Amino acid sequence: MIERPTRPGPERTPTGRFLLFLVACLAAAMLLEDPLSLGGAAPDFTVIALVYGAIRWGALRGAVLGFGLGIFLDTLVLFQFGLHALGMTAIGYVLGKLRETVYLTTGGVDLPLLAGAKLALDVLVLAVAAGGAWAAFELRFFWDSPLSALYTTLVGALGHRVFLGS
Amino acid sequence: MTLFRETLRAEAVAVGLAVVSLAFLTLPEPDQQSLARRANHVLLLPLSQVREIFSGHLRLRRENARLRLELQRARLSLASTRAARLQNQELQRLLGFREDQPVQLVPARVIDRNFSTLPTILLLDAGREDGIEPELPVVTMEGLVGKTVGVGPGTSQVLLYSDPAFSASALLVGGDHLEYGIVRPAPTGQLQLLLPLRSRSEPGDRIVTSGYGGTFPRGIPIGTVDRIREDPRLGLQRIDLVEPAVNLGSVTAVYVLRRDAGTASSTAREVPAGSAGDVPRLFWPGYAYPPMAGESFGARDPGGSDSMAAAGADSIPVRDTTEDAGP
Repeated sequence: MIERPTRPGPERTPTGRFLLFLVACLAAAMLLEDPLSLGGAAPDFTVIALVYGAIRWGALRGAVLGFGLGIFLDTLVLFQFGLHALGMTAIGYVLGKLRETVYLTTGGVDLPLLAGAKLALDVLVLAVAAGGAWAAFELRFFWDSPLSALYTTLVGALGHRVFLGS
Repeated sequence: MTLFRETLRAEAVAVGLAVVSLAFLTLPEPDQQSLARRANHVLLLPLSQVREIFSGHLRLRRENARLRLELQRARLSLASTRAARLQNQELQRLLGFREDQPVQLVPARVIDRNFSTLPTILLLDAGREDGIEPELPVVTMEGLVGKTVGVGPGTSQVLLYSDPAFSASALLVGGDHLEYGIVRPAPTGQLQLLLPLRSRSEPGDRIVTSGYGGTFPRGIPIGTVDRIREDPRLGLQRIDLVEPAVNLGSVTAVYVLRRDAGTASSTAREVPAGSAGDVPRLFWPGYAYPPMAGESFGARDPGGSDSMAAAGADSIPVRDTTEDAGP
């Protein structure tokens, strides 16, 4: 019998409160991303919701959450319908897998996960959007994406700690 | 085994969802757009409405803040308007002072004065072109200042009551009697009231112009009795010291009283003539002035501010000691 690793911090918070956090992330994705954007960088609240949801719920629910959030994003951008769903399903599944196989109790482990998830999603979306125009891809990926990933990490980590007190 | 099954199920679900996503992606673009719009309509329209409500709330809050600011400004403006209204009432009162007179008042500014120890002459910025002539009374709101002497086209000189050449026929308003006399300055510049020896006067009695002598209309405040004393040389008359109503050192603007009654009567209120008939009477706001000899003292004062009339003194004896006080 394989012993499950110790559950990470987010799981200790009440489910209702965590669901409220996810809803707040969705609301922020609709209302706050434009006002909070700095230059080309903006916090991605759907990635924040996906990362913390996958860490809390595991691979199966992480994949479902990722698919739902991806469809949500696809309906927002009206471009390549299914692209975000594909990317976020994969990210949700991988993060859930990590949660089940790796100890995620270390303080601050969510920070690299947030940054990595954002960068991974940007790679996929920008690669498809560039459609072979690699100059445009490089410009966005090597400038906007790192800043957005950093911004998302800071906002996500701060919001999560403030909202859930973890 | 359970964990293996759970893992397998998670992978199956993830792959299934990925396949669905890929299926969406492989759809022709019009179908993708249509699907996206439909999903947008179903998923995001309610959220958009929530967003609209949220935005509306924010807009209302901003508008509320703006309206509060405007309210504060309006309150400040209202306070300012109230101050302006009070000022306006004060100016209206001054205007009323002008319009109540049976003579026409020409406003003038003091543009120069002699700087001797005792001020005796003022120079005004109004002259012949403004209808000013020599021998016209010059007053302020407080009372008598002097009379015009030299008049140029645009300026005129005022002989002040402190000048040794000045004198005016005066009326002392006692508590229950009137006394006629002459006001003129002592060589020291102090104003004094010359009365017959048997006159009764007390400190605080008010002194106004009597209307005799042809220069000053009746009722211009001159001052109050400061000290009573007899003539130290001959002992034949009383020479009371007078506290002037007007402090000449602070006069910056004056009115010159013109005699064109035709013009004045159009704006002045009707003046009830006394037995002395042609002597014009002024209505000095807040200052009691008596009727002429034979005129009922209890008659209603046109100025509406005669405290003596209000006291109900029906008849006050007037001593027949009138003197002409020509300069």
